[in-house]
Amino acid sequence: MFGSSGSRVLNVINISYLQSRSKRVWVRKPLGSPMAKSKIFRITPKPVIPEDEKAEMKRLFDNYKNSMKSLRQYFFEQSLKQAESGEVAQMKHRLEDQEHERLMEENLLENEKTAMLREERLKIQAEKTQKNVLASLIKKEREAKQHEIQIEDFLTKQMSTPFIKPENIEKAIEDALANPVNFNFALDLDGYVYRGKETSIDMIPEEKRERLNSN
Amino acid sequence: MPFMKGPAPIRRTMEYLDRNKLVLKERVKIFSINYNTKGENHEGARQFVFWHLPQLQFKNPNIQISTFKNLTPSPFIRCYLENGEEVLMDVDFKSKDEIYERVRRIICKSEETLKAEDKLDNPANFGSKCQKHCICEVPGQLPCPSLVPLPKSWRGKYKFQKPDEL
Repeated sequence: MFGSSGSRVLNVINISYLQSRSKRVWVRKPLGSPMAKSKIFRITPKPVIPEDEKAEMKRLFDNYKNSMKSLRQYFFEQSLKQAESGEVAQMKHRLEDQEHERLMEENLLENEKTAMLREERLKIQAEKTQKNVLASLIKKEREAKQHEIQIEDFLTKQMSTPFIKPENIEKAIEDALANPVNFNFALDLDGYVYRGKETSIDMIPEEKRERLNSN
Repeated sequence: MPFMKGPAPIRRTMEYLDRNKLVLKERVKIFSINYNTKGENHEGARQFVFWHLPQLQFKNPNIQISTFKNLTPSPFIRCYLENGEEVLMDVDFKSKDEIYERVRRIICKSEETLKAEDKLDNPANFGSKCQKHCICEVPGQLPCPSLVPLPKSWRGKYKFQKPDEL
C-alpha cells in the first residue's frame, strides 16, 4: 500500500551511508497516505497549564531570550570591531581613503571646467543682451525724432492757415461786414455754381457758369 | 491586460530598477540634487532625475535622496558623507548620460567591489540569496546534521558540558 520508502539509513557516526541488507525499516508513514481508521476521530488532550505557571515560564523565557540576544549582538559588534582593527582592514581603509581623495580632486577639476564653460556662455549672452538693448534704444530715439518732425509739419500747416489774432480782429470784423457771404447758391452735379435766389438756369449763358468751390 | 499608467512606466518595473550600477558608497548618507523645471542648461539634470533617481533609491534604500526645484540658476548635485564632508558636482549643461557616468565614477562602488560583494556569483557564499542554502548541500561535505547526527565528541554541548558541576 505505501511502497518501499527509499533509503535504509542507520544512525552513523561518520560520513558514509551504510546500506543494511536486512528487513525494511519503517521510518515514517508516507506523506500522502490517509489517516488510520482507529485514529481519525482521536482528539488529543491539550495540556492544561495554570495561568500563574504560564506567566512564570514566560517571564523566565523572556529574560533568557533577552540576555542571549543582547549577548549575541554584543559579540557580533565586537567581532566587527576586531575585523576593522586588523592590519588587512586598516590597509583597505587607507587605500579607500586615498581613492576617495583622488576622486574628489577629479571632481573639483571637472567642476572648474564646467564653471569656465558656463562663464563663457554667460559672457556671450551678456553681449547679446547688450546689443539688443542698444538696438532697441536707437530705434526708440529714431521713432521719437520722426514723431517730432511730424508734429512740426502739422504745426506749420496749422500756422499757415489764416488765424484771426487780437490785432487783426477789427480789420476782420470790418471785412466781414463789408463782404457778407451769400449762401443762396445751388450746385450742379457737374460742379457748376448758380448764385442768387431768383436766378433761373436757362438765363445764364454757358461761359459764366463754372466756379471754383473755395475751401 | 491594460497598459501601465503614467509617463514612461517602465521606470516602475523590477527589471529596470534592478539593472543599474548606481550603488553608492557606504560613506554617502544624503544625496540631493538642485535643478529648475525650465531652462536649457537644466535639461540633463531633469532627465537624470526622471530616469535614474528611482533606480538610485532602489539600490540604496537607506540613504536620503531629495530634490530641490527652482532655487538656483544652475543645477548641481550635493552629497553629504558620513564625516560631514560634502561632495559638490556642478552639472550645468551636461547631458543625462554624462551625469550618470560622473555619479557612478565618483561616489558609487566600483565594479570590482560590487562583484566581490555579490553573494550570488560567489559559490563560497551560503544563505538565502546565494547559490546554495547550506554547505551540507555540496557533495563531498558533511551531510546535514538534521539527517545524520554528528558524533558526540564534535558537538559543543557534550564537549563543554561538565556533568559533575551541574
